[in-house]
Amino acid sequence: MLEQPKDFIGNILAILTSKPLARPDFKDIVAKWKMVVVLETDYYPVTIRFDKGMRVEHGDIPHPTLRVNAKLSTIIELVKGKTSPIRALLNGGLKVKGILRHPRATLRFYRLISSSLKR
Amino acid sequence: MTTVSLKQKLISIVGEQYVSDGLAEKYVYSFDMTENPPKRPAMVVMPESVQQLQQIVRIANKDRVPLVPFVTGQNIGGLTIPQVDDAVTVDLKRMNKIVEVDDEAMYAVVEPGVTFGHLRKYLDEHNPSLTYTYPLAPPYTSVLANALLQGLCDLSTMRGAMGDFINGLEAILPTGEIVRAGSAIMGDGNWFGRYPLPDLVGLFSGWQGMSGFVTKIAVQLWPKKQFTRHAALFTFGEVPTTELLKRIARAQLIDDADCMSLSIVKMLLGVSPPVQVYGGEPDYGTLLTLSGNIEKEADAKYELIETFVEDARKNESRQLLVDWDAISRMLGDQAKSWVDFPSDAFKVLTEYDGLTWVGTYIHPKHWGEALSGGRKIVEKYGFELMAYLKPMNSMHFGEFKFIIRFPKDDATVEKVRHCNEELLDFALSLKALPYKTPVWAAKKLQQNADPGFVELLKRIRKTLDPNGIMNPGRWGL
Repeated sequence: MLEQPKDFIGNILAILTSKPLARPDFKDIVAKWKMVVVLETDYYPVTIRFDKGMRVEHGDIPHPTLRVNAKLSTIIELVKGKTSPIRALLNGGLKVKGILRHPRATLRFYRLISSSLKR
Repeated sequence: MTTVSLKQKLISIVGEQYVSDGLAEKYVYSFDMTENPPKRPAMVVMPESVQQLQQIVRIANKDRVPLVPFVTGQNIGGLTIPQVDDAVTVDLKRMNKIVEVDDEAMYAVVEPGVTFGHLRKYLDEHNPSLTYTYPLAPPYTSVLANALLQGLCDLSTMRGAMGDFINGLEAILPTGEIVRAGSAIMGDGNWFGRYPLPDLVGLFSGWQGMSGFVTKIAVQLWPKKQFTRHAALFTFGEVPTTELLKRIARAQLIDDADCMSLSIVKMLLGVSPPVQVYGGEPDYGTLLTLSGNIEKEADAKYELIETFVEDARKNESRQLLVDWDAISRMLGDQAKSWVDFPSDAFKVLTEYDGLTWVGTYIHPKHWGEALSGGRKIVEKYGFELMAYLKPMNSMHFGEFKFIIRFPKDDATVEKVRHCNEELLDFALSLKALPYKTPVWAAKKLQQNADPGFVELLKRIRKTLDPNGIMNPGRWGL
């Protein structure tokens, strides 16, 4: 489903998402997605491509479907369960560009992330 | 003496099964993982007891046969490769008794063949309240060899190099006499320390087998703490990283700090070679280990580290301390690989058939500069960036090394040699001292060191080993 990324954050994302993507039903659903998400962090950006699977690459691209911005420390808070994506969105720890233009992509990405963060 | 008559004499001591001059055995003992040139011994002998070894040494001294001590050959310095023709490699792995563990004075007396794995298993079964340590090497490496080579381990951040853990030893001199150093000169069951005495452990520690065979060594053990926790520190920049580690180590909050280039962390995550550095990635990942007799003690130490990291974030907001619960979730099963890295390091380091490093101990004031300069050299040669550093002895000094894993083709080996020479020249210019020193590095060290020290080494060696049979050529002496 997911090629091993070569960069650090890509690997973290790969490990976090590996659990929901191991479920065949969810894997089949994700395989149908066609969108690009750029995750901007205070370390560096990664581009997550959904196209017959999921691929994480180091770096940014212009005009992604969604552009998500979060510090790595916020991502760690999410991982630890100290905050939720919604709460982080509301307090500004997490910013998403493209919500209005691409609500379905936003919901899909939220679903993937919230499934990945489940303990 | 002819090889045939020497072989017969050795067979008469240890039995036919434990002497070989076969091509296969000579080949196996002729090289290690490093770029150091191979050389075959004339013969390999495996004694089982001090008495057998003493007889071998006496014959060798009488007949001027060079002897090379060997246990597992896992050092990264070519230290068991013979330097002269017609040497006999003396493999000590059959001498593998744990002679004594003293729970009250907290020491173990072991023979050369006892490995870290053996000692750990023994302590778990018989003395569960005590612990020893493990090095940056597999569990099947020798406790005695690592202590005598003054290597680092998972207690070095708090307690220094393993040479400092030695309470005393028994050795066979090159002339065949058996001697002791340390408190056990008063008899068995009394290996509690080295002082107050002339410190004759120094005649064997750091000598790479040039002054005799150490047949028993007493090493300090420590009480096992009830609570241990880990954390990961991700940092940017060589100087900011070392400054933060200095502050944490000086406060004596941690048992251990394994700081490594992020590339090594990525290797543990399974990133395939060659592992590259991407812009924006943290330069270093450090595994911190801290402990306490009660949970609160460990937690309080962690809280103090958090304040140090918060201070560091005022200059670089991306410096990040992450507790182990989060790391376990972020890195999955590989989080355990990171904790196990020192003793399981070869899993990623032996990607190819070649592995080497220039490792040095250095004054804390030069630590960051050394790391920064070394990085530039490794990058110039195009090798993967694999720095590994450790605060030593509560930050009385620092350790750093640049690890290179490489395929052993001629062109790459030559490139590795040039890179290592340049790394060492740079380290020596900062007055760093190479450890587990290969011959080429020892020669460079001597060119830079006080000539009086080198002369003293030669004089002591001549006194102890008048016929020059013990590991001749080692250290370029």
